[in-house]
Amino acid sequence: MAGMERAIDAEHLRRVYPKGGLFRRRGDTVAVDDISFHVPRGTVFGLLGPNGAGKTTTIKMLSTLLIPTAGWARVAGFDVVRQDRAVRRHLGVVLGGDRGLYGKLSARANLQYFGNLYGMTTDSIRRRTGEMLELVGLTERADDRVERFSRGMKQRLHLTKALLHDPPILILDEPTIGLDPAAAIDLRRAIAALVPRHSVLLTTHDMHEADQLCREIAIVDRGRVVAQGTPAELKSRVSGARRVVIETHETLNGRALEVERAIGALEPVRSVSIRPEDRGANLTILCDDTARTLDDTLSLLRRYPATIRTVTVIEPTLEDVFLSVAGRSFE
Amino acid sequence: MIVTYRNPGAGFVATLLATSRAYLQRSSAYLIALIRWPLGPLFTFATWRVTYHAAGNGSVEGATVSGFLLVGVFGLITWTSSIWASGYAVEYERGEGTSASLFLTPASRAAVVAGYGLGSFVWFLPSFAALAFLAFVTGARFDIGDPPAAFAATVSLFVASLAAGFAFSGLFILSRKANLIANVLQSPAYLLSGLLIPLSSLPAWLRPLSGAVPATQAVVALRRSVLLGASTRSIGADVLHSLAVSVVWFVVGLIGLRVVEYVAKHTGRLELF
Amino acid sequence: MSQSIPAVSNSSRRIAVQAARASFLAKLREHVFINGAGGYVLVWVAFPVITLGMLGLLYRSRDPALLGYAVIGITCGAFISNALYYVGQILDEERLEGTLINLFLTPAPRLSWLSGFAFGGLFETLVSAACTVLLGTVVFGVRFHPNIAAVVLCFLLFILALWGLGFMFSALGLILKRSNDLANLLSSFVFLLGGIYYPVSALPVWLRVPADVLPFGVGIQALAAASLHDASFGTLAPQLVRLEVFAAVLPVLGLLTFGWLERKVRRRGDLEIY
Repeated sequence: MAGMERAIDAEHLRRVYPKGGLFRRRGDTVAVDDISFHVPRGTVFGLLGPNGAGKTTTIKMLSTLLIPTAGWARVAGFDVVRQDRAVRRHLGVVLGGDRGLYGKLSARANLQYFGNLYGMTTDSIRRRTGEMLELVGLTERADDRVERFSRGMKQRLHLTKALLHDPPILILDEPTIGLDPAAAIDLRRAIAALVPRHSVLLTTHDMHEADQLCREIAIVDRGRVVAQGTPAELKSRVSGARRVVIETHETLNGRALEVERAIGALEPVRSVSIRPEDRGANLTILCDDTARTLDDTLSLLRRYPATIRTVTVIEPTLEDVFLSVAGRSFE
Repeated sequence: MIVTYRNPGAGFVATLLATSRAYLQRSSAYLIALIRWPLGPLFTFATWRVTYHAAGNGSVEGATVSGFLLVGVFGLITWTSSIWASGYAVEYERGEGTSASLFLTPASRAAVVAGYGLGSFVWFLPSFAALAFLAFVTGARFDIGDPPAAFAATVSLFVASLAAGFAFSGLFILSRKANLIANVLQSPAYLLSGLLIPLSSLPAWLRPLSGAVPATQAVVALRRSVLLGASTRSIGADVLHSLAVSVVWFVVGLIGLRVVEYVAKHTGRLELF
Repeated sequence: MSQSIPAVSNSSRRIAVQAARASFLAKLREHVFINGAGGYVLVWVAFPVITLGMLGLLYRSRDPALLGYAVIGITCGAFISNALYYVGQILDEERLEGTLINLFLTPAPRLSWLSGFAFGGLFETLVSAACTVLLGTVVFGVRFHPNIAAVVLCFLLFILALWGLGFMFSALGLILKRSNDLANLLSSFVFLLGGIYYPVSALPVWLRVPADVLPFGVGIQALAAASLHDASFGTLAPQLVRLEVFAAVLPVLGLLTFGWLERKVRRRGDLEIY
């Protein structure tokens, strides 16, 4: 990888799943429509998007588990389809979750096994296993069966497995999902310490995590990249914009669409999304002028009628960026 | 340098041995597996011993019934263990949720499949010993006139079984019905390979099919060398036939492994259980 | 603002029936409609057909009467396999799928969904049994002289006894895990002592004693006599009495064992760990 500026290149990746059987097609599911991005060496690059955006499918294509329907990608300079074995040698992947480790083997035995599969020498396996377990604080549990580990411990073990053979590039698919806040903080700290020695592609639907860890972010929605840049660049696209969140006691009596159109038509409003909740409705409005927007919106809502429960004004976040480019809120 | 790597050949062997070791460790975590695998073949031997007794057979193809069945059940264990270990390797991984982790590594898939096979043979060593003792107690008469012949026949049987495992492993990656397919594919071999009934009792129209099963001639060679004192020269043709058929099944399996991995990744079925 | 809460049936009987029906349909749908009947039928037909083929080749030149016995034995073997591999193994399959704890979280009695699963597996079993009888009749010329009433009674008692054992195996699988290994071990044990390939009388004397106290051999002997030799109720009385005892005791024992072992597993805390 020496001398290479980019760790990962992806151009017009597309992945389609045909539906139906051998003799009967029932339309296709487009999991990834058109995704292009480039991960600079020695950085953390984020793929941010809601569930079902195509992040994991993209990861699987880059890690050679899935063959793209169209487009190409290179990891460490190797083509993910034609030079897949070389890609795997240079890559460490954390798919995470409760699966992916042998429950009946100990943590140490799991790492030793995978070390062999990565072609490491016995001495390297022994040394790196000890180092990695120490790094993630699992030394004392090294000889316990993985089936007895907590979610957080398994996630840490996944990370050590990915780092064991010291790959130049790491792909982490939603690494903090399902972790308690303290464990998530620890893991994020560990991820931040990986650069610049490693290059990291991180997928997440946690805006805060992406904002905190990533030098650059590609926002993905419905199989496409809808925005890309550093967190500051992305937020500057909606600079001047403020997010106003209004919660009402009523659910707008089935006229949410009408209300949405009416608010969207107001001059300072950039975008609006309304979500019904148990105890009323949640209106998220991106606007340029908070005072005017509030004034106009509250007058409008009184006509439906709707009584206000809370009003909150929030500085621009990545969710605002998403709202502005995708036209809907993140959830 | 933080990490050093093996050359490809050493890496293949290391993967094979590591997989065998992991397979044995994981299997021995279950008490029932530790009990079942040694005992199962003994019950099978006893069942067929009684069956032959009920049929009034005193000897089979010049050997005692116990001796005939000893070799047959030995072949049965070897054949089924390879199909259910090597052949079923990826399915085991899918069931454990580790297939993605496995396919993310650069390790040779053939080494992993072979590792499962080797592990299963080791796993059965206690069964082989118990089986030989049981057969001897029930009247098996051994006549090993040429030990290298017996060794060659045994090796050809292991090779044949491993070849079958390889050939099926690709099929099992591609299909989500691996369990069904394994059950369906292994059972004709019981009939066609002469494992439990003599080949001479098969109808003439079935006998050509027997030759296509790699274990058949290996079992013939093993019976002749262990029970009838046959020499290396006299079983040579049988061993070579078995090895030749095994090579074909190996090649089919190796090609199959590559092709089906590609197809599975193309259709997105690699991890689906 | 109130929302309507879906009506929840609190009648235990209704829950039990619903759960049994749902489990039955789920298994049937999975095996027949989703995964395709072909594969399962192939498996459950291949084994008995190949086995009967082998026995046919062995027996036909020696004692053709044994063939008739083997047809009945292998047919009954399909139902024994249902108890072992459907009822006995079903919980392990659920565990592998990650759905086991969902079953235990419902208020439905364990018997209800266990029975449902067992019934759901009957499709393949009946196909297997039918193919065995057909092969025996058409290829090997076996002739039946059934006492229909006796066959039906013996069969019902036999099935009840088997399912009781199936619940027991299922419970053992909860504790031991790897129910498939348990099922395979028990299967080979049953095939030795159960008089499936040969009458129990062919066994050495010291093995006939345990064979006589197991429901398998008793059931198969009774069914063979009733279907091949038109045996009367009087002739079958010794086996019928034992079958009735098995049919009464084993399901109860099976459920009690299941309850006891379930509590044990929950105390150990590894219900969902494979």
